[in-house]
Amino acid sequence: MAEKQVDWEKIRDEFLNVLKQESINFVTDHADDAVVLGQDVIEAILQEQFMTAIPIPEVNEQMSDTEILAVEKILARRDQLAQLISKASLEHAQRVAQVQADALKVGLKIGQYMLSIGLGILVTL
Amino acid sequence: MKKWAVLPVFLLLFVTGCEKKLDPTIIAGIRLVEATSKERAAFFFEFSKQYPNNELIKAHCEGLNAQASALDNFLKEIELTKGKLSEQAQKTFCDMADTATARSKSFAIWVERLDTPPPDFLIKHGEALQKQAELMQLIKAKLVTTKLEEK
Repeated sequence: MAEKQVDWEKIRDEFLNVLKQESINFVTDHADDAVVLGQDVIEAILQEQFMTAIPIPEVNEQMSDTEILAVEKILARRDQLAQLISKASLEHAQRVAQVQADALKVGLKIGQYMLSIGLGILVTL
Repeated sequence: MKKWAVLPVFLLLFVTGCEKKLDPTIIAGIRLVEATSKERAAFFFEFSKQYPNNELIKAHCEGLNAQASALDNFLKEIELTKGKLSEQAQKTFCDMADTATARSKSFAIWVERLDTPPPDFLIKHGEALQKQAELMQLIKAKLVTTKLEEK
């Protein structure tokens, strides 16, 4: 029987790498928004702080139209970041489900062997 | 040696099996928010076609689409894991509730500033955004309370 070992540290690192890569792509795709988001915010995203990296500005009636537009852009970027985090989280769950399915197969194999041995002993007796 | 190698796998199955499931009301709430979010996004996408050069409408539309997509991913994860959602995803949902609240306020201000009286469908869109944000805040509160109770 093949030895089956799960490296959870590796899976976690893979998950974080997906997030980091997605974050880098996200920043690259929205390079024009650097003024809106701010370089420090982009740095924070890259340091894996994710959603908290884009703070929500205070929304009030006194804001100019330009400021309202900037707020809408920031909110859109927050939800786009949420979208990629949710995607990475889903992919992680899919990977875990696969690992569990594999483990179940191994368990069934062991059960089969034990049943065969048990039956063998019974027949011998 | 090989026989013992499968032990961590079973331990893993046990640990992941013990992971706390979400409260059914939270799942129902996320389902409802996801459905309305899709509806909002589809509606505004159609509306945005009339104003291809309006930056604010474009940003609003982008945000709604991303929100709907993220909520869809959460639901897929919940279905796959039979009622569970990762810590990161739960935290993201809570952050999204705050985004939705801010968006609802920002949209209301924008509609008020239109040169002409806003058409009925835009007023309804604004109301729907507000209700959706309120529901997301309720789910967020429930998620946070559940976490505190667990501690």
